[in-house]
Amino acid sequence: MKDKVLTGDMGFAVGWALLGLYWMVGAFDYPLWSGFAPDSGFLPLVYGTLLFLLSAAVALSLVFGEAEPEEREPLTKSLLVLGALVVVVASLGFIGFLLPVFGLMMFIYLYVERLPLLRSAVVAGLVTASLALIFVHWLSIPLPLVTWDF
Amino acid sequence: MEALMDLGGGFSTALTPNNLMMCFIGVFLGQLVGVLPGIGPSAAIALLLPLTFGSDPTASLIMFAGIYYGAQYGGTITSVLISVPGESSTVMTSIDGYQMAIKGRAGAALGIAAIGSFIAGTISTLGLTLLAPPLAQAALAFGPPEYFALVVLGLVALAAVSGRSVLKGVAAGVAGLLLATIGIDPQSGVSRFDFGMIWLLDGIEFIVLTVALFGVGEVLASCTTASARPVAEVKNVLPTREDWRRSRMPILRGSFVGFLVGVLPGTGATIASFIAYIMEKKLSRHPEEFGKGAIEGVAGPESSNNAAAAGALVPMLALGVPGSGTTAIILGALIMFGLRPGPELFTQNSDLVWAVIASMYIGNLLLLIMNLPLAGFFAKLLKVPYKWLYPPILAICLVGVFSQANSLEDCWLVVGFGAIGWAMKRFDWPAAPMVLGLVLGPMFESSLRQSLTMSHGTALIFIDRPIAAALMLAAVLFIAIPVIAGMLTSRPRPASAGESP
Amino acid sequence: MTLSRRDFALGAAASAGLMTGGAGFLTSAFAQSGWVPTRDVELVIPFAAGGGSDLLARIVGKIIVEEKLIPQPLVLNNRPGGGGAVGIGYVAASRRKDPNTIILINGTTQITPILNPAARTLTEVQPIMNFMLDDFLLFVSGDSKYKTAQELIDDIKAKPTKTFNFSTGGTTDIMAITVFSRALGKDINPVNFNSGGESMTALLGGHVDGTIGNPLEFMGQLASGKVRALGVFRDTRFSAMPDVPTLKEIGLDVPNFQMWRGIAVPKDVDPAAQLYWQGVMEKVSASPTMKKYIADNVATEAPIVGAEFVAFLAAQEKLYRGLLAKPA
Repeated sequence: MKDKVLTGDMGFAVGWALLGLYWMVGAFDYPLWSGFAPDSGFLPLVYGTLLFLLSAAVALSLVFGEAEPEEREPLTKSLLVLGALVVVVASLGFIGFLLPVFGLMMFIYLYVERLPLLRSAVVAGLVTASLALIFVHWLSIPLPLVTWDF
Repeated sequence: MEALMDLGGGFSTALTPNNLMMCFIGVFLGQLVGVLPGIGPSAAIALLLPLTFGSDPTASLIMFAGIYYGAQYGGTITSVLISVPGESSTVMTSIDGYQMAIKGRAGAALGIAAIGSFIAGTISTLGLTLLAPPLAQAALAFGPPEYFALVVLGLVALAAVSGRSVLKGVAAGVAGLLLATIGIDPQSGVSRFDFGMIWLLDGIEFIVLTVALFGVGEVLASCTTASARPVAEVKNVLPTREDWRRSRMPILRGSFVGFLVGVLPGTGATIASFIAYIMEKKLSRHPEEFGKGAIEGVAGPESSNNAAAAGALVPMLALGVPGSGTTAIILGALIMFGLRPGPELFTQNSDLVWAVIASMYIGNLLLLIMNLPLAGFFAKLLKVPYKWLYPPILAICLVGVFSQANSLEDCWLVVGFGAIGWAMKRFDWPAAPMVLGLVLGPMFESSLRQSLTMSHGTALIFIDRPIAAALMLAAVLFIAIPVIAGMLTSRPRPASAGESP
Repeated sequence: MTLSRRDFALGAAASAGLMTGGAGFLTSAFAQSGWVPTRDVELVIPFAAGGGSDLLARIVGKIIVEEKLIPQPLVLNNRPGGGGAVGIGYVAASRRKDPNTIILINGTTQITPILNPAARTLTEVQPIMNFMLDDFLLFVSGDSKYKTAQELIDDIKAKPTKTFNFSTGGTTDIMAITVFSRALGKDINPVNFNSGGESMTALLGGHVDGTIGNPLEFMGQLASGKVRALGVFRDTRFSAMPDVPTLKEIGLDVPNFQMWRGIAVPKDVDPAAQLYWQGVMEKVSASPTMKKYIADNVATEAPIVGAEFVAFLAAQEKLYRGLLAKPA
């Protein structure tokens, strides 16, 4: 278990370090200094360098420090919810807002949480309706609705 | 005193049935847009503007001001209940307020926030009544070097919101600064790190990042335990005597700091709430409780953001200078009503100015009356088991973020950063410094570049000017004192706050 | 319910950008051309709610609805981001050839693509009509030692280059400073702020020596003597400020520098629909509400329609590219 914990932790820190590295390299696309003051590239270079060093330090401290083997929650449920979110956002542009949002709630209630169908449908329906009422009707946010307007 | 006489006149205008009604509508709408993540008071006022065109300017301005400070009350509710900040100025509340809610003390958190907001709103309106013109004049002394020094002080405080690991906290803060460089560089007009995406030209919106990290990230992290999670036992819906005793001083301090920060034209309620939180944590006798549901961590920032809202009206009314994004829009409204915002507004349109100020006393009272029962009502919402609660939270996050700029890409960002926020929780990286970095980043960069341009390239401008020098000294002491104290007591650990930028 | 129906309707409709025009009326524009809107008309605002251009769009919307200029409801849609690039991109990508979409355009939407090649240019839309021109003035602080533009200009010319710090509130202000310093033959040191408000605040605080900005934001300060206007960047003086000379009057050869704001439809829209929208916008432009708005803004009325507007934009593009030193 301890190794697995370290892998995730380490991967995350390395990810930030890589982002810092990307910024360090990318900063040179912009002028660093102009006239009296730093130009567009200067602070990105500084931030990138700092983030790289700090994240690398975090990673190193994971290798050399004594990591307390902590019990972590299983990933499955979170990944399911995350996957559902991705599918929902991907479909927003095509079939409007209300259906995917309703579907998201139904999917989580029924499949992820295994809750009773009728109550799930009522709750999801009520939430969707109130969102539509507040955002579409009162605030008139042009949410993409079902695309009947070609 | 003359001001009090004028204020009396203001009350007689503000208390007419029509104006009272507009005040109520204003605070009610403000409360509503405050609760909704994404849409904020500036958008609400902008949407209402054309409809008030041609109507009575006093009534309209009373309503606009009500929306502005009412939103500061409303944003608290979602922050405490579901960890989704309704407004950018309530981010800090999502830390301790939400922890209190988990412990079944949402009512106390909301109650103290409402009381603190009322006290702060009233104190700062009093400040606005008595001190507006001289304070506004003094605030003008803050130029780019002073703002730079103020931001440096804020960044040094990153370590204070870092939780357990200072190193991870500082790294997250730098990551926030780094993300702030995405988009068009306002100084040169060049677009940076946009990955060829037009929608990234404006950078990552602050509210998108906070809803993602705090809202979606929290849901993803805690949905695994949703069915096992015991329903919070909602007890003592209102703050106890002990809560009140602990919150008294934070509320007072938050009011004063928030008011002063609000008066500065370059800062606003968000920065005021950060400063109040950090200050309370530093001054507290039990700083280890912060992040785990310390009531001071709710009382301080909540008072501070309300005080800042009234403070931001000081430069607007006394000088005609916008103190925040929302007051800039209210200034636009004044112009639309054919008024000329400027130093003469107080003398030439004194009826209007004093009516608006008087209405703020009334509006704050209305908000208190509205929010105390609501605190109990909303706290009971948490009796709903979490497994029923979190899918609607996700739905609100998505719709709210979309409404902020009508942009589907922002929904993608919310999912992406939601996943990152989940990972940050899992691997114990604090999210608050990242948000702080994103807020302070643009100000840090522009004030640095402006200052050096003004001084023709010499950094002496930061120590030649007394206010900047004092703030810089404070920042140095902020780092030095813990380090020296640490050296005196034990061997210093490497990689401490000294590494912060 | 304590909330009266009317007030509540105000609140609800207020928050609503959806303004429903009455039904069952004909406009002369309808009679002139063969086309009328076939469904809800979408007015795209490529800026966030609350700015000057957003306000103009909302005034246009208000006039269209109140004077019943179109037989369909009008929906306002803010698509902010990237100095107008997001909104233009939105119209170019998903509203192509759609005659029921109109979009607000201004100088910024023309300047953004010059600075950022990734952004869509105005060739992606069909300009319909310009409403107004925003003007620029030269300001110093009220306690400045310079009483006239001549004194300031003489001093700038006498001192080394880049001695003078001027605050700016955006790309257009920087361009105005370029215009000014080219005419002087001496560089001014621009200190760039993010908005006209911040730029003015820096001037009031005494952090810079002067500024060039839109008159609107400075009117209240002018009245109280906190700032002093020294010169106008257009051919004629302002009726609101009869004492402030134009820069040409004092012998400084500056080209006219003004920022335009108008309306466009998507590219390749049917000519009949273009004609229809020209008719509607001419009515908007002639309405007292619009005239009052422009006067309140201390700006110049400049109705320019159709092909003339296109030619005007081409000339502006050349001017902007010259000022930004980015030839086509």
